[in-house]
Amino acid sequence: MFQAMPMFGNGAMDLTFSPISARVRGANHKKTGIRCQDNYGIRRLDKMLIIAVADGHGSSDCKYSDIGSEKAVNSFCDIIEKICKSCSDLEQLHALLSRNKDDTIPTKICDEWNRKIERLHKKAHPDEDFDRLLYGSTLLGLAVCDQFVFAAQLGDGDILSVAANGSTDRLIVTERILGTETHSLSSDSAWITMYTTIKYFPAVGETPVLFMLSTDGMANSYATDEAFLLCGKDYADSIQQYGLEEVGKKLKGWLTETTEGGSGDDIAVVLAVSEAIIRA
Amino acid sequence: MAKNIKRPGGELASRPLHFIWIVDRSGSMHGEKIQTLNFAIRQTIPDMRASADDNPNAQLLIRSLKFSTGAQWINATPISVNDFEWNDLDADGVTDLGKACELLAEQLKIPPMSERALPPVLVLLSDGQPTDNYKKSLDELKALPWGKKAVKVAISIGEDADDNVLAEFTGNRELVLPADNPQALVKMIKWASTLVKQVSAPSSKRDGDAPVVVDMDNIPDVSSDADVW
Repeated sequence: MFQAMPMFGNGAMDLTFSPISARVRGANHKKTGIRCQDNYGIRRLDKMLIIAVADGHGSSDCKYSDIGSEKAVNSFCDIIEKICKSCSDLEQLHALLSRNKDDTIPTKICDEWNRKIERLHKKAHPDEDFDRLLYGSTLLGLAVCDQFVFAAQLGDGDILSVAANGSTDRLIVTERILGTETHSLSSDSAWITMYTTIKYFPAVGETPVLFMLSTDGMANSYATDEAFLLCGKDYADSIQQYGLEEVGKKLKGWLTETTEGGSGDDIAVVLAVSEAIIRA
Repeated sequence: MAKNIKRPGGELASRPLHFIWIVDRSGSMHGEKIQTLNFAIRQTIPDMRASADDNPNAQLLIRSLKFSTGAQWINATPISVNDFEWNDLDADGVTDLGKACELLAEQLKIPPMSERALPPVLVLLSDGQPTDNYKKSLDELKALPWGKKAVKVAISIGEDADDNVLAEFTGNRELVLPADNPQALVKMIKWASTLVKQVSAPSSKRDGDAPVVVDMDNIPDVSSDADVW
């Protein structure tokens, strides 16, 4: 089932998937002077790409949520990297992720976030009482190789999977919370609200060609869900036609256009792109 | 060389923000009360248009509903604030709040409401006691997903308004605003219209906490206004 793979290194070998990423501050925050609340993270290991996006809540109760989202993406990447490096091959990694995706892994990620923000708070604001809510954030993350993908989502945002024929689906379908509320890392027992999934690709032709992680400012900018999902195929087609580097250069400008013409919210996006379409 | 590559994805759009005036035009509103109400709502229009210009990423859509004996939409189709005009209402009949809630509930379902909308703002203005079986309709309205998330404010006109009923509507007694005289009514209607600013550019909130938190610090103090109705 699995090819024997070497121990996970630091990306020295060719990745099956390559990332491009960008984040922009939304029109609303530019007007009010609030910092961009969205962050992204990328970790390259041999044959494994780890990516994450997070959206700080940005309300007056959450005045450090830009830091919260930064620590969120770091927490996901740190924990998943640690898990990868604890495994000798992909088969072992797949088994470990499958067994622990519903409880242990969400708990570890949330605990790591709590540790990071509490440590930072005590150092940066020693005279201020610590409250997780100050750093409230969502978190979406994904770890992918050519044989499987693991994904996790806590709060709003989207994880899209694009097949070779361009059809696009959400990798994780969460309950839709109306308005501006979302599940949060800062909630009690936040790990319970983290959705996870792991999908194995049985044949080369069945491996998705692109994954897209985006914070909710992205989807909220499109007139319909269909208009948003079209992003998947369009990004894949553009990369195939113009190359990864060219599309990477355009990404920030597109996100700026998107927030200005749409939701006005901050946006962070990371794409994981298969070599199958980069070298096509 | 940077190429002219089309932005991925389909059509962009701002998020709809529905604002609904729910107006009691029962017989007891006759005279100064309805005249002041007509004047005050008309006065809010320029500021709401300015708010909309300041927040282009929220598409402000206004509707109005009147109730007395029965209930009717004054405009059932949401109108852009730039096209919204207020035509004076007269006063006659009883106070069928339940019928008003039924009409509201039909419009807060999904569809016609969109899942990507911002929380709607509902402003109920009333001076009396409901004369129909309002409870069932109100409960059904509040059970809807958008009924729960909506920002609901009530303006209690005069001394005979049933504040308990209005508090059932808002879910928060502090959002039942007293308007015992013309000056107070104008002030409260103006304040209610400013809610669009608060809802236009909201930040995310942790699920389970209160929905859109209304900034009540700026609610006008009308305690010193004279001439109580």
